[in-house]
Amino acid sequence: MFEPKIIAYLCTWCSYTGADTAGISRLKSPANIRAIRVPCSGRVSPEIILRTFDQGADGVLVLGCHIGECHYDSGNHRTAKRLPAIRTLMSFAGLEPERLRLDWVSASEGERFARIVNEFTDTVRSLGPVRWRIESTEKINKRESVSSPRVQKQPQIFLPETQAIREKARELLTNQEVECVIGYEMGTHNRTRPAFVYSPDEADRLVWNQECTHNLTRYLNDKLKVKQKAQSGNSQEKKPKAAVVAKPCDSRTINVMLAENRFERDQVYVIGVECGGILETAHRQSLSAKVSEDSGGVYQSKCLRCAEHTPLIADVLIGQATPAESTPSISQEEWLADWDGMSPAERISFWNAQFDRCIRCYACRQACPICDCPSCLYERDDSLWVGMGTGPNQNRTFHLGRAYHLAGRCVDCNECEQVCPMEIPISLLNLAMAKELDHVYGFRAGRAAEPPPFVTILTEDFIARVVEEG
Amino acid sequence: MVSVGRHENIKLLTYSEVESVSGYVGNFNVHVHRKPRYIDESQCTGCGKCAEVCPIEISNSFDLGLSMRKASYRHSAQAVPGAYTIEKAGVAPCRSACPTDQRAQGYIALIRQKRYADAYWAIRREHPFPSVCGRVCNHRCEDACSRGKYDEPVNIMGLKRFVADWAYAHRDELPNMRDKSLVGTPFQHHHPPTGKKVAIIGAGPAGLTAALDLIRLGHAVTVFDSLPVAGGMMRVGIPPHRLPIDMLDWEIQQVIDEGVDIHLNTWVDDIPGLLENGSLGGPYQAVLIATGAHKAKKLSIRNSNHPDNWLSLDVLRRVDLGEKLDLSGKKIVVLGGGNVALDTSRTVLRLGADEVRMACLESRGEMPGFDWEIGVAEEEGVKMCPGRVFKEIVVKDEKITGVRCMEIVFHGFKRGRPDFDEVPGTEHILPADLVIWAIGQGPDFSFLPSDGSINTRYPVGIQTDEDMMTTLPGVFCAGDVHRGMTFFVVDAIGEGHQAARSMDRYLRGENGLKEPRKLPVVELGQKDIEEKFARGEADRRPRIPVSSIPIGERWENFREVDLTMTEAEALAESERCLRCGICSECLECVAACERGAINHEMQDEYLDLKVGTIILATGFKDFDPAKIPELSYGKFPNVITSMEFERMINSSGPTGGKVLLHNGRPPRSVAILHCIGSRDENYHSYCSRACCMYSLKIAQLVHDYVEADVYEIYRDMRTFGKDYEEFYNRTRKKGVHFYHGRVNQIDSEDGRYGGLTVRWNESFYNQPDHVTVDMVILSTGFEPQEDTAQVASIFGVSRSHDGFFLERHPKLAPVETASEGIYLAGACQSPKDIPDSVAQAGAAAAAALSLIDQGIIALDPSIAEVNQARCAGCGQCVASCPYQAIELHNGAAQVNEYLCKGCGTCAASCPNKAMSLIHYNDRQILAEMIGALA
Repeated sequence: MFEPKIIAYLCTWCSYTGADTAGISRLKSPANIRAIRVPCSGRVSPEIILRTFDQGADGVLVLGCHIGECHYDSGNHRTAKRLPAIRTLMSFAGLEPERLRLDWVSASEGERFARIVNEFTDTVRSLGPVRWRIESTEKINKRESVSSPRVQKQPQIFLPETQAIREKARELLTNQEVECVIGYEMGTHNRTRPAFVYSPDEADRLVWNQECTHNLTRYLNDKLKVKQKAQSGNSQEKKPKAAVVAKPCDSRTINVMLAENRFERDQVYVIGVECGGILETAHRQSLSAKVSEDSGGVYQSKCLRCAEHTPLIADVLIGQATPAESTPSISQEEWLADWDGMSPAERISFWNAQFDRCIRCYACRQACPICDCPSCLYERDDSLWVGMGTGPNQNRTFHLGRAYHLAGRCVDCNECEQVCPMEIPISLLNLAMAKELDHVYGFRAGRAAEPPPFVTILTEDFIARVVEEG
Repeated sequence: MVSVGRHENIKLLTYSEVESVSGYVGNFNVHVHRKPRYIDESQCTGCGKCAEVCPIEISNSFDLGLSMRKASYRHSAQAVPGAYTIEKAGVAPCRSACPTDQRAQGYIALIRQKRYADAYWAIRREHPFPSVCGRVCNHRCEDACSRGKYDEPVNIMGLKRFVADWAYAHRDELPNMRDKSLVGTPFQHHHPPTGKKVAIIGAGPAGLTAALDLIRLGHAVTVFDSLPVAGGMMRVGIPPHRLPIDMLDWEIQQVIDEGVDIHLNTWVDDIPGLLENGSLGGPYQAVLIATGAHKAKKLSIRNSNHPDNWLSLDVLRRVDLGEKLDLSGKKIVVLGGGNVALDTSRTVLRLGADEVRMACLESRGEMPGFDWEIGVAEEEGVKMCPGRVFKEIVVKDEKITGVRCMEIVFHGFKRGRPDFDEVPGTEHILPADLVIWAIGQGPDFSFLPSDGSINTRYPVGIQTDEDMMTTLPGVFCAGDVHRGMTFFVVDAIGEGHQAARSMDRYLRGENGLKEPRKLPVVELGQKDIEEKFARGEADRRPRIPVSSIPIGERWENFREVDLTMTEAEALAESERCLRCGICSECLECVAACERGAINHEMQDEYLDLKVGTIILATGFKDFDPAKIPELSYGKFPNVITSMEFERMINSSGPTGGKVLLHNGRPPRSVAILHCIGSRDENYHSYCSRACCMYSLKIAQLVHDYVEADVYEIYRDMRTFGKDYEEFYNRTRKKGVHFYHGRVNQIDSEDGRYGGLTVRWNESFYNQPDHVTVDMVILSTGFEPQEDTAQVASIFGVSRSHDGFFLERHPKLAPVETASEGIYLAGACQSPKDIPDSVAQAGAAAAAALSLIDQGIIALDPSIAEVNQARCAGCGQCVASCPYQAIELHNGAAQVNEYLCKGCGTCAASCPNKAMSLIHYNDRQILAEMIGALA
């Protein structure tokens, strides 16, 4: 008979002692459980869970103190939020969700410990050996070509908006209110590219049209972020200031950045632009296309999911307010509707094909305005979290880990997918997390400058639900 | 307890709450809120005189509601410190609603105690003319009265009139009594003469009130009035059938007797002269204009200048000044719908008028006069003609024959002007040979300086700043002339006080009177009111209305129509008061305290204590047996809790040490029920540990002192302590009956008071399963205090599943908590008896002392550390730390190693793994995991 390997992370105060109690009470528990003691269930990070399955565990059990009894006051509140999230993400990528279980066992509940462990072992045993590790041989380097009708058209520069942006930029630079204006200019092949304008004379470089796809707030990290730790703590020094042209999606990013204290609100002057949707650039095809009526182009997929036409945060608003639609043309649920019926095996095989293509160029990470760690967890030479090779397993760990890190922070600006040379549908992972957070906590990243829900404690009614669910 | 209270190194902060704790072991900063006791702890000798005179009786929570206590109280006979405390819930709504700050709840309570003179002083403290406001006030106190939420407000005005009438009836005895009306006010102590002179123009309620206050503050006051009598509108504007003149004159005379220099029949029109040169006995350093609004208005319609157009105020003044007017046979139309119109109509009716009509713009429901008075006027024969506009006074042969009117639809007043639509074709004539105008009155400004140095205000009144000073420095203004229209006497008195305070500040600078401090207003909900009834703090009886003399006795005389309450009625009505504010600030205690310890102005205090260690000893709460329906606690009065028994058997308790049934007789048999709320999966699964032993003690007390049969219905006898088993055996030997069982039903013979049959299951072989007794005592278990969760979060202490505070380790660290430097003692950690509590307290003290003695602390090595080079400063660790041990510094996280407890939540939340936990870092955990999978 199949004997699964199960890793159990036990909190030292309640569950580990509970396991002891079970032993002292001579209660039988299966040998499949390999216990690892941690100070608090809050110590068990989603990355550890991911890594444990990567290493071939058939199931992972996390046990902590009951909510309200945490030895560390509220450490387990975070566990109660993180573990379901990583379960959602991994099951989206093809893991059977039953293989990851979170439960609460107090020091005196030896019987409960034995019951949970037995139950879980039976569950995992009935699921059979884990199929998480991709044993793929055939490299699928070919892109699946998706042909969709597209009318090639010269991008039009929208004159009124362009003029207003130029005037604002000139005014800000002349008055020395900012040191730099980050906007768009025309590049080669009639495509727009980011522009950094430092003097009023250069303001006429700036343009605005329907192909201004880049999320320029990404450059605020370099321009504004307080890097005082490198300097000699001279707080008198003037804080750098910059202006940025922001679409609604970009304005959400600024909210996330403010929540993370990357810079202060008065450091950035937001030139908000009313946006009716951005068109696909020539080299990219959308997964789902809708022909824009006025220009004949194809709207980007993120714009079909976006309900906002006006930036949430702006010091000046430019452009005409487009007719405000209250709901996105395609909701998160609709977008992910196909996934509801997919079996774990189908999901694994879908993602296998996708991750197999990844060349680990890290373009997605570099384009992301949120990804701002000084050195990336997944690009270290110690192979602690992921190997440096481009096998599907490593690639998947990188992408899932990144999706988890962005949960509650990703505002769906979709730059990652835009820049991916291998056309991996990265946004699907981010969307799956966004949907989970919206459903469970009513949280939408970037709506306000607030931290993601994983780090805060549970509300009273949420506790009631968690406790009820057991 | 006393030796602790007196120890030089122990500072007891009673009546205080910890609001927040910051810092860490060795460096705690405890923010304490000291609630005001209103009695100076260092002065109070605990003599209890304040409680003796306090009229407010509320349920005594220490006696579990078995007795009443006063608003000024001592927690218990043995309380440390022994000082009394005055309990205040805030300002009663009645007092807050009154412009004169009348302590209505206070004088009502004094009436209840038949202390009418004290009630009179309480009224007089803010109000020099009680008889007036006992009769003609619009009693905003009653509109605000909390009792109105239940049935009808307390008849506060009626009660005030009762006191005023009592004082008038006993006016010869009053001078022999101690006048307490100045106690507790700024006028309590004699103010030496300041040498400043104040002139007040107008001897009405505002002027006289200000005069009284200023005289008491040591200023020389001269009052001028153009009328031949003092009292202003009170004296010449209220008809005698509503306010007897002799009673009012007596009250005015009392004011004058305090030393006000009053000049009647004197018209003042040179205000700058009063300030500058010697006219009218000047120069004066300050002047108060309080001339009132004595100029009745008249519309300029056709023939309104005819001599038979009279003014309401003229009629009232002539009557009040004693002129014998004869209006017999006259048909009169009174134009106006307010209180003055009503007074005028009822007055002319008494002067013999044949037919009296009242006509006004407003519809019947919108008439500004009091509803009740409109009804009375109609009863007396006044015909109401509301909802019409007056077009013309019809004159034929130089005599008025009527008023031509049109019906209208009235939309109210817009910017001071009436807004209405005339109904076409409704023109008609109201027959009359005399028209009296009562459409409002305004102030006469003809005496103001012609240079405009005193500004008037649009649309009416005199312009003043917040301190009631007019645009001419040194000249103040109060009362109707300030508002520009007729208001109520209380408003004038309130402004009089305010003007006096302002003038005192003007004359003395910073040493002048301050504005009084206001506590928040109490708001009682339906539930609070029901609870007050249940605790016996108010009576449910209905409101007692004011009665009047029969209509037939009212003709052609000015007998007062409304009658005063009888003493019995007043006593009954006073029982209806809900005592909203608890302390009513009647200030009887201030008068009684010989040490001067009482200070009703005491403020909240906030202390910041720097301490190194904290011991929590917040105790427990008794289980409420009303939660268990089969015990019928609260339904059968003879089912009581053990704590209620303890209060009864206590010689200083509510029954003086006697254990009595509800009918006052001692019980002949008593059943004691164990494990109430404890060891029961429906309530609390834990054993409360102390109940078995105290039940045995109760059994012995009942057996020895009440000499009743005792039955102990127990689940398991837990006599685990030293000498406990011996105590149990001794109890058995005394003849106490012990039956094993779990009680599932209590019945009463007559459904309430009669003998109680207690039934149980799980009885032992050969033992009964029921017993019938007179009294049942419930041995209630322990519960965590209601605010345990709040206290836990303030101190950062965890709780176990039963709700009590959680110790760090049940065996190895039983008094420590997970928060370093915070210790537990007593029943806040788990149910325990006194010996165990004392032992644990000793252990907690020793643990705290060992830290103090060492002067250093050893930290757990397993704490979080940051790799600064990797940290992006996103702040997720800061938000996820349960101990606020991480802060961002220069764009990177920093761990406070004293606060960090090593849970590792931060390490798990860090996206870049810049944060790690020493001894549980990622490399170690992953290596363990990989090894386990191998």
